[in-house]
Amino acid sequence: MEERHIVYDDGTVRQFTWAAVIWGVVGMSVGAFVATQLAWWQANFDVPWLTFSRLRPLHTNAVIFAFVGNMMFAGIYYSTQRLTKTRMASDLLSKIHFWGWQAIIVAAAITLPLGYTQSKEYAELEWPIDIAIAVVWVIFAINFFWTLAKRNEKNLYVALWFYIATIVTVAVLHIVNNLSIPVGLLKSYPIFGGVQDALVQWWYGHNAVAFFLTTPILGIMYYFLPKAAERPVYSYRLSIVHFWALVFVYIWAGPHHLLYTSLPDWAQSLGMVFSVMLWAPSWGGMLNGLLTLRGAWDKLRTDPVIKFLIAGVTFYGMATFEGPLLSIKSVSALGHYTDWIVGHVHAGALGWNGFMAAGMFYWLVPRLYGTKLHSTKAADAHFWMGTAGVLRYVVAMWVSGISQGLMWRAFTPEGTLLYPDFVETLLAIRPLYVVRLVGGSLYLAGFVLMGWNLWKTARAGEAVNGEVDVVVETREKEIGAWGLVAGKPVFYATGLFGLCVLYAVTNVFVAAAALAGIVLVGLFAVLTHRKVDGRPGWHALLEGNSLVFTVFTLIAILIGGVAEILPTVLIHDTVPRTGTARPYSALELAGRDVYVAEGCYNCHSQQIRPFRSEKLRYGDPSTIDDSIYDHPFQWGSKRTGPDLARVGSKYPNLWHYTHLLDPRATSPGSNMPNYPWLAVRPTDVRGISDKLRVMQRLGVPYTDAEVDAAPQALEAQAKAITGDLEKSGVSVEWDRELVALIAYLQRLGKTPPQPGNAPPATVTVMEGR
Amino acid sequence: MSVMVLQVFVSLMLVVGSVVLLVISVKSDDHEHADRLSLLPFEEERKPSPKSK
Repeated sequence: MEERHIVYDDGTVRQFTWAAVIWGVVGMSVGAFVATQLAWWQANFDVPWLTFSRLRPLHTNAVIFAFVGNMMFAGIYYSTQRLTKTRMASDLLSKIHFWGWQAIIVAAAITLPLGYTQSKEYAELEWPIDIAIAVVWVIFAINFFWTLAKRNEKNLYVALWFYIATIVTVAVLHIVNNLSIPVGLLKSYPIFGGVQDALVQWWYGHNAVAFFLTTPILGIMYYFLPKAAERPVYSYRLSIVHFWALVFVYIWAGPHHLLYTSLPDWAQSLGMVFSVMLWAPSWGGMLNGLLTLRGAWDKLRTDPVIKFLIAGVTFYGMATFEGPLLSIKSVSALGHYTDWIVGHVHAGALGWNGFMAAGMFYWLVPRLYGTKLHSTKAADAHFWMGTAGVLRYVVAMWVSGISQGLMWRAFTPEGTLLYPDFVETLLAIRPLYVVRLVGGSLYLAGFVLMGWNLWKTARAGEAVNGEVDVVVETREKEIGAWGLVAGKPVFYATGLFGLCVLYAVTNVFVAAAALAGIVLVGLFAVLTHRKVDGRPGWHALLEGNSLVFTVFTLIAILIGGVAEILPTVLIHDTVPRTGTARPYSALELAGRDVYVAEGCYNCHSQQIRPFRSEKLRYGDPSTIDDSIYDHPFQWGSKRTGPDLARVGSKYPNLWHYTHLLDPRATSPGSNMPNYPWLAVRPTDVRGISDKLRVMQRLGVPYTDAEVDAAPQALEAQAKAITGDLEKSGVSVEWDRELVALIAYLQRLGKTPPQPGNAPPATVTVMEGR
Repeated sequence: MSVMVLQVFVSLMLVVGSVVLLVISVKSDDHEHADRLSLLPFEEERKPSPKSK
């Protein structure tokens, strides 16, 4: 037995805390700015790097990775040291982690407004920054697991399980979703294309919400809520069920972002079913958090920390009810592509993440500076401003989204669209965009007030580091890794999983036998279980072995991803193709890069769902072949403007020219920004062969001759378009981005009659499908 | 794949799984262990000294 004096590294916690506050103000300010642009298009100022389609990714990345990321790291560094009763393993790694993360944020803040993007939502950053993220994340992981290895507390508390799940899953998601081939210093094409890219992206996108915005914050809830309430968590055993059910089920839910798309139906069904199931563990965790306050509900009136934490958990409950609801196919049919999704996301981001962050900061900062909170009244004011702000925001988006969904599908008695012009729906919801801006600004004002309050608190005190004396007892291991792996729970879980697979993939008789087998395994487990006196249960032993715990967590999160993604990627039969797809011409590919760089996917989808209203408005439902050579896919997730999947040949070249330079000249009432710089900026003609060559490596069937002759083919097609424009009295040089973008838009939904070296002279001669 | 069949199946699995876990937990009589672990965040710290690093 040995007594040790531990001084915690709270300097890193302070750094992450202040970074979160500062980046939170920046990210939310950008959010308020882009909300202004949606209500008043003039706020785009015709400046490329101030345009909505480039700033919206900056807003999402800033609030997710800069604000919540830094907040999460602050919470993890503080609580991990206390729960393991040891200082972080390496001060150097902590410093590299902090400054590396801030450098990545700065790189994102520079490159995204400049149009360097992969166009995959929440994974927009280009390949050099992706590599930096992977390196910094691994450094964080080494520091964390090294700390677990040298801990002075035998068991891992539940908060640490959620941190483990976060670290391993985010690493897997980030690496797989960002696999790409560079085609320049800040340009790359992802290795997956079309439906495969869509599935991988939304497996990532949904689980970025799950494992970046949810699991670490749940860990923070399990540590800071009991501390603030001065009561232990309501049910430790419920937290065991909560953790394993959540991490296993969450990873399957990604395809609910792709309901009614050309994703194979089996994947959509799996995504929907697991999303509905997710309601149970989510609410298990929410109730565990809320009931922690049992016997101390009076604190809700007086303690701002408790107010924020309990309101945050309540918003978590609301968002995790709404999420499964929106994942039901018939509800998704109404809500998808509308502002309802935006409202849902912000209930989670502002209500859950923002309030949990505020609760944690109000508890943490006074302790990090050895003083009391400067103003409880200001914290209360922040709470009510935040609550009023988030409710205004969310209700406005609910009304806006449901209005959009209903207007898009409304018919006249004669069976035609009641609102055939897309702009009609936009004009109807514009007042709600103003309400959203007011709500968001109120929330931001409250957040700034918090920043001031925390700053005054810090100024009143002095930075202090926590200290503790621990008695370290040298004990022999109760059970080895193999003993855990060979334990009965693993045996039962493996058997049950095998029977579930049998149930799902074979005929009805085998399914019935599998069902009976499942019941028998359950009964056997119950009847044969015997308590061994003096020995902890299997899970308690597992909590003492961080390596095996991490491996089991990794397996739990890999099962869903492998089951959904591998068949789509490896087995061609699961991705039906009609064989009509043709690669883009050189000019169309160049135009596609412009479409990606300008962030058009932020407002326009390219995926027509199989509904009568969508067929009348946009054309035939999208097929897998439509986007099979799209690296990256451009299906989008929101329709602030109309779907573009079959916009090709719908309008003449002149219409697109006019529309891109001044959208209101062709679509009065539109809130789309002007893109005047497209007529000035040159297309990268010299680099086009390299781009085709990379596409060739990715499986797009370009011939070597097409690759070599790409610049000439590009020029020929571009001059055909400028010649067509000149007939209308419009003069534009052939090598401008505007011409390439027009070529791309005219190609959407169309297939050239035959592949060859010479692309069609003009898009108007292309054959409709 | 029929959504309804899958949904009913996984729902039954959840219910049966919960009952099995509950029975095993009661038979294990592991309240004491869980109670001790839930108190981990409440370990006392020393009063910090301002200059401590």
